[in-house]
Amino acid sequence: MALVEVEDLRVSYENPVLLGVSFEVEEGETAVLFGLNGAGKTTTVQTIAGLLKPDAGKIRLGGTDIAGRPPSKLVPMGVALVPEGRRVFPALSVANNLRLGAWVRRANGSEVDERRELVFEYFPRLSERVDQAAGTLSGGEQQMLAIGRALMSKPKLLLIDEASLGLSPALAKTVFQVVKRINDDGVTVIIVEQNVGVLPYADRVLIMEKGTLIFSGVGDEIQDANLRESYLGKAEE
Amino acid sequence: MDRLRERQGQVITAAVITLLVLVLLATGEKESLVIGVITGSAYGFLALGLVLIYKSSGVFNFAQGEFGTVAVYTLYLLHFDVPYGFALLGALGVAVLMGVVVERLVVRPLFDAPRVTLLVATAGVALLSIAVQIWFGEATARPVGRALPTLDRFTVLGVQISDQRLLLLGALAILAGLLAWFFNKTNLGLAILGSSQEPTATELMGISVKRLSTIVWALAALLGGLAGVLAVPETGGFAPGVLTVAFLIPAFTAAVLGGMTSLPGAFLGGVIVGVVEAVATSAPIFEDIPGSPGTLLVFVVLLIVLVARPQGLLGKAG
Amino acid sequence: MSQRARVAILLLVVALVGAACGQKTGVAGTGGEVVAGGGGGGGGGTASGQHEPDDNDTSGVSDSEIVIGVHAPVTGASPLPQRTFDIGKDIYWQLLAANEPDALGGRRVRVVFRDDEFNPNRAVEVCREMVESEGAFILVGGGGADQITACAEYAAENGVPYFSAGVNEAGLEEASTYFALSLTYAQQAPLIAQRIKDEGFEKVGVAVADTPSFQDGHDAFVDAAEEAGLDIVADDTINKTASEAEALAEVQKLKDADAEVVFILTSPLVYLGIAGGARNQNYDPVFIGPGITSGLNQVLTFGCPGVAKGRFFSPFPELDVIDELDPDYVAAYEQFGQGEPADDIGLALWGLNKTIRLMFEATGDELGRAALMNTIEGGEVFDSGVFAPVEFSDGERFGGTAAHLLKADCDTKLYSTEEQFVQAEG
Repeated sequence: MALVEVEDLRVSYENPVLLGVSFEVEEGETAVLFGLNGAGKTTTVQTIAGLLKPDAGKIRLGGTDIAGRPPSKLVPMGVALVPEGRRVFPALSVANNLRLGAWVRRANGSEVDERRELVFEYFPRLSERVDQAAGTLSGGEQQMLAIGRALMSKPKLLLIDEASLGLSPALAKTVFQVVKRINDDGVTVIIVEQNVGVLPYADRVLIMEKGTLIFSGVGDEIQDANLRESYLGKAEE
Repeated sequence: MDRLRERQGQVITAAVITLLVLVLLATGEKESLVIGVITGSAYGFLALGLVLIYKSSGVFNFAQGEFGTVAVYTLYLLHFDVPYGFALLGALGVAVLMGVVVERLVVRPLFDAPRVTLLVATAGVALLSIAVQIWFGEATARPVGRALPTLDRFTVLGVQISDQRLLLLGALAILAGLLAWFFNKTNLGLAILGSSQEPTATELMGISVKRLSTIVWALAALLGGLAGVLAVPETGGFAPGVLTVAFLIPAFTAAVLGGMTSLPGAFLGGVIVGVVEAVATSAPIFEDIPGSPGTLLVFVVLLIVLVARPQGLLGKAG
Repeated sequence: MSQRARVAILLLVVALVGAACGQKTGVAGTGGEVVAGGGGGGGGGTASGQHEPDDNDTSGVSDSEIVIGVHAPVTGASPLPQRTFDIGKDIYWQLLAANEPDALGGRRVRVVFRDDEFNPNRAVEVCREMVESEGAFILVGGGGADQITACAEYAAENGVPYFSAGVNEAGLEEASTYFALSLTYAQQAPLIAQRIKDEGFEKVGVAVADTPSFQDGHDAFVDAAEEAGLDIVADDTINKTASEAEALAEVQKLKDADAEVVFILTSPLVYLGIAGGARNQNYDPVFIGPGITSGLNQVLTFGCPGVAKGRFFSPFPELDVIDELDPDYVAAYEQFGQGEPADDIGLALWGLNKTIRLMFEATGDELGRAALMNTIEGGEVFDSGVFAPVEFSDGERFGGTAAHLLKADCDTKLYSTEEQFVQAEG
């Protein structure tokens, strides 16, 4: 069953950015959204997360149309976005970053503690840095914190924008592995990526170009050759 | 490293205060010490609101004083008809209402504008507020009575301290502590801090940043209102724009001294500004300075802090 | 926030608050005394001492009308209530038109009023406007020493007669068209010193706002006090927009020096700060000084009980004696006051206008600027019976001869007239 259904999504800033994008992501999948800069990937996930309002089209989460709802409505429904550039709260400690991540669950203290333990299990490095200001963490640690913070709200759908940007290949791989574990634990994931290193972890690949979806495939359809032809090949033009 | 730096601030603060106290006692300016503490607490109160807005929206709020003046005006109008205590509550209510209205009509439309734009907008609010007060009530001074009439219950080092002043001092100390706790320990306080650092990320946590903004401005207006209704009656009365004209610059100095982001720092900064003003007026060595030695000395202190320790006494570097 | 940004914001704060103080607000009080009077006048004084009759400029005077331009602060740091001013500015002329329609050659007097916002630059602007756009024949300064000095200078350059109650002398003695219609601060100094001595006080404190306009008043008082054998135990200038901390520190100094009497020459708001602060400290000296605004009843409404022992010399008497000095005053308010009660600001304007009327009449039908000034400088004494008589001769700009002594009464919150027409000695 599809957890996320996007149908003919159109978004514009001053000019149209998404020109009618449609795709589905099944519950429990990890989907990877590829595309060049300016293809509309970030706009797509930000619109799903409620940061942007679509001009037209539908976004359904488990059958409910959520298009245009703000994050304050969507986070309690289980949608969380790890934004591009991590955007951790630099002057707050790691612990307080996580605490704010659990804002919509704040009424239930024991649940918050459980989530925190889970995040530390995924990212043991964070537990060693609990009282450190987030701004003083390394880039990789900040990415872990950003993902951990998003997990605190107990999402059904985790959107990650540019998970590996600025990370060493080894660190990127670590992050992808943890994302895979998160996915294995039942969270549906959509990752925006430019790094093909994520492919081994992907159940579904979506490729965007100039505001439209030009490729969508699962399972066997995901082959490096195809992808190189349709994605990297075009990148060389 | 961070903690070391924080402690360094506390050590410097303690050293500055100890030195100040010793110099004042040694030079026989002990009265200035008391005068500074009791008058500076009013600056500290206003500074508290400035710091709150600064922490949450990164802007210096020129209208902070006007929350106080409007509250005093309301107190003045109401106290003819209802008991003082109710008039006081009404005054604070009007101040909070003004804070919410300013947030809705001025701050929110400029949410994504550069901070300088918002800064100028708050100055506009202050000028408009003063103009409205003159329009309704003429530019005359008006008397307003104290909540607590006793003047001479306490005398410290030769200076009499009125009950009203004790109320101001007590309220300030309690509020500074409460606010520090609020920001460090509560979810809402953390959310306000978070929204000042990363508004988009705060939004993504499911927090309505706009609602936070309303809460912050209401809270700041409450602080401004309290500063007005507690400090102004001690001076006997008020005229349009009283807090903006007489309190805003010293309060701003106090906030910067304290580090712009530190609530206890704002309180401390207010007291230091008050002491400096009092000393400059009474110490013989400043007698030959033409103009206003008090104002001059406050600015000298401010400049030294900006140059030598731009993060203020209790502020965090960076 | 970066250091530079903080400095920039600080400068912006100063600029904006400065602008706010200068234009619209006001509590902190600034230097100039507000003078609720000003006055009538005329005659001469080019460098040679005579205003050329050939240039008997009759701008502002027609067969049916004489236009008078008045400026005063109704907004700014030492504001006067605007409604009081609006009604008081021409009530004398309304009564004159009703009772004696043939006076002044049958001409009606029209008063144009402008708010100078307690700002000298603004004062010059509004004075120019009133002369050039509104066609004012003469100008009257209703308040603020600094504004009066600035506008008097403009008036002298343009040959326009300018009148006010006596304030500072510095900067005005060279203004060839200026006439002070009551004693200046410096002229009042010997009266004040004598009064202090007569009351049996010895230890005198001095608190004067730090503005150049008050320097001659301060120096004259210190000289007079020393001559009278008084002991000046504290002599301070105080910030003209003193904060509460500064006011309290000043109080502490006066208290430590054990001053029994304080000579005060500041804006009324700084006076209120010091007097209120003194009361908070159980210190209860007599405050005395050249009054004008500090002698307005508003100060008592606002400042009692701190100002209960205030005494001020003033160009005008108080309401308690006006009926015996001029019964028309209260009657005129009943007729033309639009329901507002007769008050002391109106009285100041009344006395001023009455003196000016005498000067107009003495000039006769050929009413022009040179003729008016020559008449005033001709040595005639103009006695309105409200202000003390004025007399100008030998290019003298300060014609006052006496002042009324007002005493605070916090029971009624009104000043009473303790002594009328106190003469300057010599």
